[in-house]
Amino acid sequence: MKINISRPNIYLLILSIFLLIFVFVFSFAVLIPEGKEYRKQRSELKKERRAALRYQNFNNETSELLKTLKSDNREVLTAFERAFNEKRFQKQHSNYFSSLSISKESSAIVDDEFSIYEVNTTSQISSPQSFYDFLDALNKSDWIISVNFPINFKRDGELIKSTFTMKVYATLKDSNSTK
Amino acid sequence: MISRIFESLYIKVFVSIVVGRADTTVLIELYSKGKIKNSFEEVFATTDIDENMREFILLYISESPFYYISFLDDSQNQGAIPTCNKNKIDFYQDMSGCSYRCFKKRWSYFTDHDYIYSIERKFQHIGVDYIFSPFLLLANFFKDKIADNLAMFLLIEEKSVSLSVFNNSELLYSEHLLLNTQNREELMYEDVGTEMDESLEEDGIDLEELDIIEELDSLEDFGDIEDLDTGDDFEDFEESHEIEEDFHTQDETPSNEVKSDELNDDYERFSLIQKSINHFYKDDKYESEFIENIYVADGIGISSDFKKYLEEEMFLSVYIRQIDLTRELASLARMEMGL
Amino acid sequence: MKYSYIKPRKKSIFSAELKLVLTFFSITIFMLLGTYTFLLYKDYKFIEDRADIVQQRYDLNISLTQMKEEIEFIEKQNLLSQKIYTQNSVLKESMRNLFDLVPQRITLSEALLLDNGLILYGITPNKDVYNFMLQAPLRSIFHKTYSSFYPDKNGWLRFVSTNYIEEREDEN
Repeated sequence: MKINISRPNIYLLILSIFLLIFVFVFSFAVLIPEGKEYRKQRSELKKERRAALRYQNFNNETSELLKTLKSDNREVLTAFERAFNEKRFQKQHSNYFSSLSISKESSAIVDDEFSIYEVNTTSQISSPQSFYDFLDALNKSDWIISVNFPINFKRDGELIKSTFTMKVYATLKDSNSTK
Repeated sequence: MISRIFESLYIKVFVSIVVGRADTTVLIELYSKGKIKNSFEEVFATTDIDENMREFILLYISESPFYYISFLDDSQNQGAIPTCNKNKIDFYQDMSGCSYRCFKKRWSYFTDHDYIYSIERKFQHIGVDYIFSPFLLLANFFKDKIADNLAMFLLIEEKSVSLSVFNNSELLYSEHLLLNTQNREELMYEDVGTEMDESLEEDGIDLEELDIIEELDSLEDFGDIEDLDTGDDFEDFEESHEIEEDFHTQDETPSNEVKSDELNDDYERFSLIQKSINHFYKDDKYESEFIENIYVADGIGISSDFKKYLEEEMFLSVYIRQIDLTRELASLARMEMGL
Repeated sequence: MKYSYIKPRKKSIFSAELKLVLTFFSITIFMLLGTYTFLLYKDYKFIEDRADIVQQRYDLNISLTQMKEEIEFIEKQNLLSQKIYTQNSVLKESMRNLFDLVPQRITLSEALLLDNGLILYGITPNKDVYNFMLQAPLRSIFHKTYSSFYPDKNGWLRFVSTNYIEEREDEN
């Protein structure tokens, strides 16, 4: 039996086979690997997104924490920032003293993050109670100040002459800004 | 450029169809790269399209989308006219209902418009691409002779004779003559021009109408010595001679009928031609020139008698060339395409 | 249509079947190419996104480190201020305790508070009062106590009480 296919049909057949082969080859050699790659990249992206989200959340929490800390400790922080002003100090705390004079002893001593400003105080108080009150008030003052030894009380007539040193703590401006 | 690539993928198939009296010849040529690679010819016993013919053609045209089917116009009302000018055409022929084409701006050939439609309808299942006029075929076949000769050129088909007179490429006269054994009477009175010559009647050969009285008349003429030298007398003598011959042949056995049919046909052709030439000479519409030579394109295989008739009766030099109608038709198609 | 009575039909290599095959395959190939382009684009996007995430993490890292440092510093400050406040309060309390210690009969003229000791100057009616009422409690607090007396007018004794604590604590 002789199979006779006309020439146009032969060309058609060849073209169809060729295109079919092309489609298959393209699908398997190009499309499927690309599809695998796509799925892989997508899942990895998902993972990374999740991790990034967690990280972001952590970051947000930390930021919140920082904010609350800042707001909770506003007074302390501002007190640390404030530059010491002798006149203001005198004005604010003169209540406790009959007389009060302050003199700067040494300029700022840098103690890694803080500058310590030493101040000599000479004052006259009517009774030790004033001093106690002064010490209480000091904790609530505009600055972070500690009273240091040596402290000298000497009776001077009706009043007590007291001399003591104070250390005013403040944050170093430079170090804070770079951090 | 792209189309050229496509064309080189496929071979061109040229189908030529020529309708004869009772059968049709189909030639299929496979053409590629300027050469005919293969050809197949078959004759089908039908003047219409039959199953076998269709199958035969479809077998080859299904091999390529570039197939061209050419058909030789066999319309009864067709011919050619010596002018291409639209205004002058009506002078020669009433062209309403005709399609015509101009040949090299010198003369035009025409045919019945409705007949073209009927051909297209006939071929509606396989289609037809080209329909050519036999006059075109003739002009192409004899183009070397037409160019520098004054002569008559004939194309002999089974059913018809396409007659034309050319003088150095100028068409002087043309007529499409139909052979029809059944309607010989109609042939007698076939009128190409508006004039009807009495001489036509006299020159016509009609076996049925011919009676003894006319014969006697011609015999009487023969008796006149002065008229002996006239060409007409000789003609009449030949006629009577032939008539005797024809009576003779009728008594013979049927096996010779074919031969006699052929002889009849050839004689009919001859007489048609003769009539036409006389019409050409007599009609003022046509520029008459005396014809001495005839070039015949023989498409069917005419007998030697035909040549004899023309040479002896009309004193013409006859040159016969065999023409393969289907092959010439195919080459016409290629010419049309510019191959 | 130079010589023929009719025009030939248009010949085209695109038979109906060929057109069908070409249409089908062109649609298929178009879809395949579309999918491929989509995948390429998506891969490119994914890689870009991953790079973005890496960048984001890097930035977050920086800010996190920064915040951590700030938090640390705030806490340091907190600690320091607490320390100072307590230091001042402790000072107050210890001073209060100290001066409460002093009985009525003894009068101080001067008190010198040092970080490692205490020096008191005062007047006492007699030694006994001094020893029982002042010296004894002082001794219980301080490690070393010295007393020296100077007679004063009226028969009262002037005393200088020197008290030290042995442990050397770091100075704040």
